[in-house]
Amino acid sequence: MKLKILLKRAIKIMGQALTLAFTMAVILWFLFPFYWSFVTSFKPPSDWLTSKYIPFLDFQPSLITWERVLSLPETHRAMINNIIISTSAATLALVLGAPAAYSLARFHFKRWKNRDIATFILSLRMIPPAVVIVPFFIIMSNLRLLDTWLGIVLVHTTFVLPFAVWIMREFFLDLPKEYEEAALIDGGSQLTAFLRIALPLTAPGLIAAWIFCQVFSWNEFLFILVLSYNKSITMPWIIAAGEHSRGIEWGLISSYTILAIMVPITLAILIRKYLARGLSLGFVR
Amino acid sequence: MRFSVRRIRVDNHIPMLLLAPCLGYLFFFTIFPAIYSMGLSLFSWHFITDEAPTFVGIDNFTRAFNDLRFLVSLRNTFLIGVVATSVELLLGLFLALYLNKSGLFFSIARIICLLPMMATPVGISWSWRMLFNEQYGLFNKFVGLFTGSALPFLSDPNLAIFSIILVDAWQWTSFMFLLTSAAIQSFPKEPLEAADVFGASEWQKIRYIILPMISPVLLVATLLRFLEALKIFDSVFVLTGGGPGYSSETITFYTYFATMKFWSLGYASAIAYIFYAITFVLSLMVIVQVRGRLRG
Repeated sequence: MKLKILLKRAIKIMGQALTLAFTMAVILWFLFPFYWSFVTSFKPPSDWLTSKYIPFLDFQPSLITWERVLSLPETHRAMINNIIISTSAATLALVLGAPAAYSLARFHFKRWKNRDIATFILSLRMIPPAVVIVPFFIIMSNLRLLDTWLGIVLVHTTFVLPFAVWIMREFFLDLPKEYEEAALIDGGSQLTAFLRIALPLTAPGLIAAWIFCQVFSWNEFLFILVLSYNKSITMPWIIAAGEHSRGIEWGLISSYTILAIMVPITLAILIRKYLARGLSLGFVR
Repeated sequence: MRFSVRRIRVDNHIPMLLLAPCLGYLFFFTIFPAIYSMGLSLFSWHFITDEAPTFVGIDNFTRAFNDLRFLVSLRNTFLIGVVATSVELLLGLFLALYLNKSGLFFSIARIICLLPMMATPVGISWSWRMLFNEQYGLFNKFVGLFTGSALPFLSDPNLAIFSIILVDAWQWTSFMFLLTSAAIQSFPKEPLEAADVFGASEWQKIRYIILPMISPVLLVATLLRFLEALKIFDSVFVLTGGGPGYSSETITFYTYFATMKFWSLGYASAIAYIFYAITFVLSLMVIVQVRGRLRG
């Protein structure tokens, strides 16, 4: 009898240990590719492809790759482009999206129901990017916007705008409307109620949505590849173009990767509270 | 001016004024391109030769269904979508359930679980490509210990797809984890406390309380993830470039290729639209689910 209880307890502990071990393994698996890029970026070129993985013990870390990467004009251009493009796309998305979100959260429309308009905006998000590769390429080449910031920003905005509307709509719904009503009674117009009261009060939401859009634009690759070739290239573009005539420069690509990854990861950790809400289109609150 | 109980009623043009720029933008940059592309799918147009587009009716579509390369990419897309989404669902659910505890270790683990999703996909795919490398990669060093020979992770047509799936699962388990754990945390704690009082086991609590509570979220998260997985492009581009041959191409990759390498814009539009038609039902399911939960 005692043995049975003991056995049961042993099985339970074994099970818990196995679950913990499995979880640890998954977490290591999540971290490992980051570590691998990081370590490779500090390897001297002769060690790029070797499986040495502990700095100082296995190999002598060197800054050769980083010095080269940071002095390449291509790197500067790509980083600056990335910052300009993601900031502008996120800003444009909110300039267009926040008023629309406010309108959907606060007013009744007569002809269509509000939720139908919101759903319609969501349904546009569901169009696969493949469908718009060709038209975007033709439109941008006709408008002479190939390989320009503006062309990329316009395209990125179309992808983040539905997110901006949906996230902001949730924030405006959470806002008690008594404040705005007070402003209206004091003789303000709907527009001042929105600009002076609702917008400042949802500032945290506005920033979260802005960062959310930035992360998406920052990592976007397909349309950068289709629409730019020189002037408006971003970090994903130069990372992907890693196969040079001199063969693949693994260390170089790894430092590019670390540079490119740092920004969205930092931003995402900052707004992690709002990530689920945004990614599930308000389905999870 | 009248006030209704729930909302402010107005009779002026401000609501429409606020909404119009957004709708106008979406019309010009999403609806118009989509319609343009639909029209173009009925034409044959080689962009680079500067010929005028010629109307060919549904020829592009019949051509697609006789194009082995298109059919292979369609198969790959759905193989990756189904397998990767299933792995992500199970692993994400497991992590969300297990890491839903307080304590420093668990909060750090929860943050780590978010990282893969946010990492620039093309960048991290290169890291995987180093690990998969046939001659020098770390994986083959370990495989070599057991089998004595190297596994061609990316250069074998059958294995390449599964390498892509592995990378996709690595990157997007985060997504399922994030949505599931947010759902678990957003529900009231009382049922679980009640279950504790009655001495329910951990498994019983999961099976009879947590899972039923989060099942709508699981459904929507899985559908969203599946739809996104079908659009896979970045990791394919870096890991295999569609190769060897065209054995690991996906629909988005083939559309890109038909556009930027063959310059047959009509045909590219046609295959993109076939893909859209197939995924349309799935998007409708998501839309219906999300709409049903809309507030306001």
